Amino acid sequence: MQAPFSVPALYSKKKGTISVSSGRNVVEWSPSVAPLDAIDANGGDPLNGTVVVRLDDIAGLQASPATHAKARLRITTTSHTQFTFELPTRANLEALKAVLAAANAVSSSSSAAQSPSALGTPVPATPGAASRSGPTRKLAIPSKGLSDANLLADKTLQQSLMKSNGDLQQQFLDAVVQQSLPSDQFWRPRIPLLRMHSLVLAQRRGPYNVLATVKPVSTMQSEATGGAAGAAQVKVSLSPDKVRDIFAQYPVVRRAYDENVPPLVETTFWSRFFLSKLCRKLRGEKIGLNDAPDNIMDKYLDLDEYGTTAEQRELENENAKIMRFVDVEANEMDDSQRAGNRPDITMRQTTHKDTLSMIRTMNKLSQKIVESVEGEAQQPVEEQEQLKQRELALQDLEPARAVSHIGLHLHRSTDSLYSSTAGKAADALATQGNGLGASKALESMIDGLPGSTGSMPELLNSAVPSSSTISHAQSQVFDLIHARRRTEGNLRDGDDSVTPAGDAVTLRDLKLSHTTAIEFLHHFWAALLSGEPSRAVSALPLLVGSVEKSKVRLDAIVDQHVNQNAAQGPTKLVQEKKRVQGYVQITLDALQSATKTYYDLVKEQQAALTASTGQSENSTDTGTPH
Amino acid sequence: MNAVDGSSHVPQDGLASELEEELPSLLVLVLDTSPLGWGAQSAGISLREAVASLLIFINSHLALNHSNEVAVIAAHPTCVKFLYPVPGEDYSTVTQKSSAAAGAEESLEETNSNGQSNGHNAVPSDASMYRQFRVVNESVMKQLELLLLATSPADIEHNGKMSDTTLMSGALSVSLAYINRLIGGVNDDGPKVRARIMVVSVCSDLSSQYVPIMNCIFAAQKMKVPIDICKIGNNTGFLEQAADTTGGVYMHLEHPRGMIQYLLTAFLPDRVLRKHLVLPTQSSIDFRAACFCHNRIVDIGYVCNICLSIYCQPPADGSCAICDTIFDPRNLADLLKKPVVVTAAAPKKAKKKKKKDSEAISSLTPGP
Repeated sequence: MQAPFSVPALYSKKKGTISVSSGRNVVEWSPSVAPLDAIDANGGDPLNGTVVVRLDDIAGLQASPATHAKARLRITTTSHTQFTFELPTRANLEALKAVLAAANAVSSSSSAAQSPSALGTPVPATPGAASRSGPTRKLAIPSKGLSDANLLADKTLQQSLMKSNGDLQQQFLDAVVQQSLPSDQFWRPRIPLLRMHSLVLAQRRGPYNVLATVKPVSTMQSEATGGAAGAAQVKVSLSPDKVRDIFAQYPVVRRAYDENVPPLVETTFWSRFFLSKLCRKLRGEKIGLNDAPDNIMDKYLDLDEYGTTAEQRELENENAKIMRFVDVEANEMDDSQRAGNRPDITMRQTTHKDTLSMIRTMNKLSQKIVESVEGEAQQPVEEQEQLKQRELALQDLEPARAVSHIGLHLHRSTDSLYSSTAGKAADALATQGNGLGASKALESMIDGLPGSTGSMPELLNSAVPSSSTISHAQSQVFDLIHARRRTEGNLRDGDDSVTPAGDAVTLRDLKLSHTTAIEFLHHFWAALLSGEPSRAVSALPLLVGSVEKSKVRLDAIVDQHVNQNAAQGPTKLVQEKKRVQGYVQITLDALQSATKTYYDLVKEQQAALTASTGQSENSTDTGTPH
Repeated sequence: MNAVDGSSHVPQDGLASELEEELPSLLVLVLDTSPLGWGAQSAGISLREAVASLLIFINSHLALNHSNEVAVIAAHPTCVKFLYPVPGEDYSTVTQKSSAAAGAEESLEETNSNGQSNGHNAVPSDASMYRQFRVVNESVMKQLELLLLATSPADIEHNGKMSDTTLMSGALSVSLAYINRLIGGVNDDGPKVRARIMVVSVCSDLSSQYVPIMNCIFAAQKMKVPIDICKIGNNTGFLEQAADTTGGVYMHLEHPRGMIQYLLTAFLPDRVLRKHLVLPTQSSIDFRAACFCHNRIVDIGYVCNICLSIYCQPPADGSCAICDTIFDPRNLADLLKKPVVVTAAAPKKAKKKKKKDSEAISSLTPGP
């Protein structure tokens, strides 16, 4: 808390004082003379004419330049109101500015964390914030903002995303660097990826139990270096962050540190701490009798982790002690039928104190960690109170309320969609079977069926056809099995025993060109079908060019592969070419259809254009003789 | 701690599959009895032979395991009917009766009483057939005949032409419900039977039933029930997707007369065996969907992003018919824009345009 800062100033030609509160969150101007009229148009307090501006609301400060005669300070708030104060001396102005800037800097780090949270998630007011002693973490919202424009402009983010994703990098190199796709267009469809990546980068690790992570690594001194057998050295790595977290989570340690370190060297303190019983107690391990006594550390054994002794705790809790008769919580748990007459393990007098303290320590620590996590998981105190009230209230005696059901209205218009009366389908399929009248068809079906008294064996025998039919059927089934085995075998086992080894390089190149080709096709179709003339003029010709180039590239790769195997005869070469082309036939078809569509459209529209301009020319020709 | 937790009651992988192999298997056969389909099979197989092949197939299925079960459902243009087991009939009290001698009157009564059970079934001449087989065979034949006799030509005609669709979606729904009932729900003991559905289909066009069939397919997928398709005649749109999605076998018979061969080699292995076999199912699948507004098959269309329903063109009133979401009119307008490749914005043309405009204006003003 700093001293309140006040300086005389003029506001709306009235004399008064600007004062910055001691908490440095409010700037207030109060007049020295109470005004006669009570209305202040600028949002000041109508009763006594003060102007109060919260530091959080200040969006900007402006000061008149040093050469100006009058020293004026203008404060702009977030609600776009401006307050102009005139200060008597320039020194005052500078001082005020310094104070405001300092206050602003201090609060900006916390407000920057708070304002995105106010925009993003509704943060319930946490009065428990003051009691939060866990390490404060910034909210996981990246500082640069997540709008599309920001993401597109953020080159470092894009680069880090590409570093993490090798495929993406390949695609980028191919499309943008080699094939000159504008990088803007490359990233535009990938904005969700960028957004996710920036969120991932902005994540911070939450608070955790630090002591559990500090694991002493024991190294045995090797005999060769002359140490006596069994002389173990224990290494513990401590970073300042960890030290800070330990102090935050276990104030006992902090107290021990504060009291002992000036005489003791810090490293000695830590080494003794980690070997002491205190550390084991805080970790929750049982203190055996084997542990070495440590005269400094053991002083703190009796204190709980906050550093208060048992007596102090009693004193604190005295006021909070509830009479056993009305202590609901204790009575709920104190049910002799639940687990026999013997009290619960936490209530027995014979339980070892350390067991209890271990349990309590862990619970308290977990609770603290959960509370210190900022944001969504917390219930404000009012809500908790309300919940308690609701649980306590007697509801059995309330009059029975009529249950109001929510009526569901069926949307009957969809019935037509599901109707299977094949009116529509039949029209489509009217050609077949038209010669056969319905009754005739029925008759033919029924004739075939023997009655139930008919001869079953005859019927069943009729099912067996000629052996040639059987063999045809058999061969069809087996063909399917073979075909399936070829394709599925690769998928399941993962080993490519079917593709020849020589294709590996070609396949890789083809894959790369394929992905680039698909990329260009995406952009091409998006630009074409968007129907915007601006895009048509600027982007489309380039894209068409790129599409054609992709096709050329794919063909080149195929030819290259074929040429490598040029040793074989010409027919084999043709076969080989067909085979390798088969890998990317679909891509080639897609590219082909894209270019074809484009050129057809161009022809069509140019023809239409010349026709329309020709017509209008004719009409103006007839118009000019006027 | 790990040794103390009680997760050992959850069967490990090996244990579960062993259990599964012991489970009996339920086969639900959906037979498409569309008259147009069967009547048009000039070069194909007649209904009689097909039913005979199917009966042999069913018998072999029952023969594989003593506790295997079967159900047969007929998908007719007008209704869906259980051919076996017929609801209301009690198969456990079938008593042997001596054949033709004493049976003449009673058998007449039986056939006239439309299959209403009175506890006795007439017994045809062959008492040497295994009882389970006989029961199924007779029930199927009898019920099928009754079904066809009960159909009048008016039922299956639409606008003077025969309708080609059958209630495939209805049959699939009924079979899935039957399976669900027999499985007995999912509890800790696991299902009591393993089920699969087999469809024998002859009709061609199911696009009016796209939505119900897709729903049945997804339900079967959830229940892990494979749907096998035995297709005679033309290829039907959505049954390929059914087989592919649920892990079943799709076979289009090129030689319908050899149906028995196809059935016994490709369709007989049950679910457990299939894990170890390469299935002879068709690999190229037609994934086209039908649009929801006209039931036309589309391969490029528009999809509502809320309910994923498919349209062949943007809905005219700007809202989705299924989920009532109102679309942004600007987005709809964007979708309807025609592609523009050439514009009239070239400089010299602009000049001409300006000249034309000014001339046009001057022509309007009263001339000097």
